[in-house]
Amino acid sequence: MGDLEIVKRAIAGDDESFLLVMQVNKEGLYRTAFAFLRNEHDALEAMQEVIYRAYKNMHKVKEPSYVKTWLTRIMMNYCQDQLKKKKRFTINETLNEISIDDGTVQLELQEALKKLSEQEQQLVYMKYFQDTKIKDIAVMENIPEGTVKSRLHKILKTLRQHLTEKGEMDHV
Amino acid sequence: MYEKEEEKLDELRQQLEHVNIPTEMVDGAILQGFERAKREKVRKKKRRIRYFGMIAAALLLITMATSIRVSPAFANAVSAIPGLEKIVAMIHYDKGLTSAFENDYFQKINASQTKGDLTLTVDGVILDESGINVFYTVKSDETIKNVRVQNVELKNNEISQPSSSSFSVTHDDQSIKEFSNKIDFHFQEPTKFSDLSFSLLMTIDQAGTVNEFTIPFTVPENVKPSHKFVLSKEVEIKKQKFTIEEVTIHPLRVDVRISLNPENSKKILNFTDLRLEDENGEIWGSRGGISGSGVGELEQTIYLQSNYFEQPKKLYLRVNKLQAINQDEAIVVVDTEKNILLNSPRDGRLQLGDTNKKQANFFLTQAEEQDYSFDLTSKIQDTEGKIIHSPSSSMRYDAGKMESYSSINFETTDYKNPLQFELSAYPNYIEGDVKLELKNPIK
Repeated sequence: MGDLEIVKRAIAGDDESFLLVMQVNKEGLYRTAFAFLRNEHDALEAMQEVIYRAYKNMHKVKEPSYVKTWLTRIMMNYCQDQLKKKKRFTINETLNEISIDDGTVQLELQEALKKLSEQEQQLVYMKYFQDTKIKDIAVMENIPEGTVKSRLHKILKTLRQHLTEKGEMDHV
Repeated sequence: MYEKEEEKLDELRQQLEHVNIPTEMVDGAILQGFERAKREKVRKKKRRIRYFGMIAAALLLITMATSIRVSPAFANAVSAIPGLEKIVAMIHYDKGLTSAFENDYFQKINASQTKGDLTLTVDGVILDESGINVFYTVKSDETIKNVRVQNVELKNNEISQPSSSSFSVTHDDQSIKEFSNKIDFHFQEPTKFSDLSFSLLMTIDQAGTVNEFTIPFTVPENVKPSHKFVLSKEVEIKKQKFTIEEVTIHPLRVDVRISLNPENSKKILNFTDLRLEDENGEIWGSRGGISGSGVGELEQTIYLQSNYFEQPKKLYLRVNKLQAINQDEAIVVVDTEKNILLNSPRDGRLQLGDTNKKQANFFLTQAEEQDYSFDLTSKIQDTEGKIIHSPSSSMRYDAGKMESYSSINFETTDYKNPLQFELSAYPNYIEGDVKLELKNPIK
């Protein structure tokens, strides 16, 4: 039985197949959670919540081959919601959580990424971290491939601006 | 063109790939999420429908998907009516309805109408002075999906008072060729018809196509008379007084009319174990999924399963447990914009989750009862006394955390905070012993 066949059975409501699909995708999902939330505890909680949401909505998956992208999206949406909530309650705690040996460059990049809109962050994540094909992103977002490309282009431009601004300020 | 930025992004990606994955804990989280989803029950809340010009509450019937145990007498009665085995599944949890079947009180109708792909058949009815249960089947040659019963109405020349109905709104979105269910019409006042011709009007939405069915039918035999006991007896549990006014035994159900003493220090929310009991301790309790009318009011009627067809030597009305809470704790006050809980029961178990102007989420800690129905409120008003309707709410239970969650949506965001939620249930109980004998019915 191929992977696609398992996904199809999961969509049809088969519990065993659902769990198999989650096993196949767990690593990617956990990395996504960690990329956004930056600590193990929150990432594990995100896993639980996303599995829960996936199970409740599995029947809505129309195209089995996009199940990974679909799951990643649920995870990203959840993480971004969590980050918004966290912002209300904690002050700057996140800064301490980022380990120092990331190097300054990465810290700057992460700061620059935070300045992007949520939609832009998701796009960056799919393209550069999950290595999702532009064609697949276009299908998921229901926009033409050209639009995906021009959005990515705009994002890189914004990132460069943020990074050079930061650099210039450091030189002053 | 942006190679440098892309390179930096790739470095960050590589770092993430080195993140250690706590496999066992991830697997644990997957199982927890999966099990929670499997357990969850979402109950769509009461939908209001218009009925004979009056607003009537349509309660959703909770179908009990447990295994079905039936008595041989019941199995016999049902097998005598071909094609009605499916009814077993619908009513086996109600002793009164089961016994109505066993005593041949079900009346077969078998009248149909076809519209588009769908055929609606009225299989049969159980009629008494309190109401009528209409059993129906929807059938199609093709598989049907996303079927939704939008509205039901019952017409008869003699019905003039407001009435209410309960029916299942949505059918599963699984692909099927037919399904059966029942509609429970309650007459506001006991009614004895001289003209037994009725018309069932039913609106069915199938994936966006709306069909209106009208099926006229005549009930072959008239009703058996109901028995009424007038008690007017005040009783108390832990100094909370209430009067059992009347008990009426119909074939379909038992109505217990109760009035609460306005001086009570606690607000009585639910008569948890109100029941009829015979001399052998056999019990007729609440009707699954259907609560009484006027919850939270000083006068209320509670419906029990019927023992109409039994002949016990002695019959008692008994209460041992009430759900009640101090009057000043019975109103939960929330500012949905500031996300704060301003008043709530002092035991602190009710807590506020996220809120915004469209929705409020609550959770209840130490919820030990698996099936505790956390239907928080029946009445919401804003600070100026404006009633805020809630078109939908959902609840779920987390057995691991022993928490119940309740999510309430508001019809409008046009209101002034804070909002007041009148509690309609809360797991705080007082206990006592009330036992009244029912004697000398007025027939």
